[in-house]
Amino acid sequence: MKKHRRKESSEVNLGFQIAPMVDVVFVIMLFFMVLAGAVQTENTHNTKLPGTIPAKEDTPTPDEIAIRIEDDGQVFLNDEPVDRPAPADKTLPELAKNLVDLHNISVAANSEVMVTIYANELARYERVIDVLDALTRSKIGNVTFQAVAPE
Amino acid sequence: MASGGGGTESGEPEFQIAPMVDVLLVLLIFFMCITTAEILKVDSSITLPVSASAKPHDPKMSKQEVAINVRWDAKASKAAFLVEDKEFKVPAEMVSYLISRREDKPGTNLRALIRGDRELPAAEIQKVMDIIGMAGYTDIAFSAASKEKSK
Repeated sequence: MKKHRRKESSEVNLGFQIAPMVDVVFVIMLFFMVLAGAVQTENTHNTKLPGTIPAKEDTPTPDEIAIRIEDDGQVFLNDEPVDRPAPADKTLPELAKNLVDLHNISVAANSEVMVTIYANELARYERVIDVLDALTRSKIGNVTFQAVAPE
Repeated sequence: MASGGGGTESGEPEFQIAPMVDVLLVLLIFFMCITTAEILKVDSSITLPVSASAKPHDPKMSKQEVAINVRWDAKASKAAFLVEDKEFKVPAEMVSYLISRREDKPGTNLRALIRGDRELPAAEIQKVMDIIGMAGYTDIAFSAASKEKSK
């Protein structure tokens, strides 16, 4: 009995085992694969503050468009309500469609579209970003902000 | 003879563990790199709004940026302002700090990166923009997440 035990311990292989290593590597890899799909990255909307860019002499007056955001998240395009208040229409499809049309018209007329965002004091910042997102989708770059809503 | 091609003497193909470990390790390193490099390094108490259309944040710009974190305490209905981990109780106090940050790096066009909580009222963001303007910054970027955080 004793002899058998001694023999067993001497036969224990302490060498490198490839199979458990493959198991572990496989599990770690699966973990990172799943994580890679859910990873959240940072995006930015870049803008310039008004009055800081030197104006060219023959700059044509752009068509001005006002987008108003109410406290409940209802968005108005030139006083016309578009889409439902947040969070129903997060992607603002109607606004984006109108903005794309406006952008196409301005490109055809060789003028520029300028958008002013009038966000109410209690409107959520998320809604402002939704509007900026819709503007980015419709390729409108001239955006300014106004603190108070127009009368 | 047959072993050169991964087969046995009888010509049966054999599973080779070493190349499989090589491939697994390469895949593992690949997934580790993409997840750690892109993971969002933002104040954990801020839930960024989601904007899929915004441009991905350029990591090279990080050195030319001053991050302004705006937290929102819904219970107290109060915003907290942090510029690079330095908290400011009164937003107006940020002006001198932002000016000193700009003077630290003469010649570079510093950009102010606003990371605001999605619940923030638009008035708070307006306040921050006002302060950034007073500090003489011309570039502003609004931070947003690429997609909703997975739970």
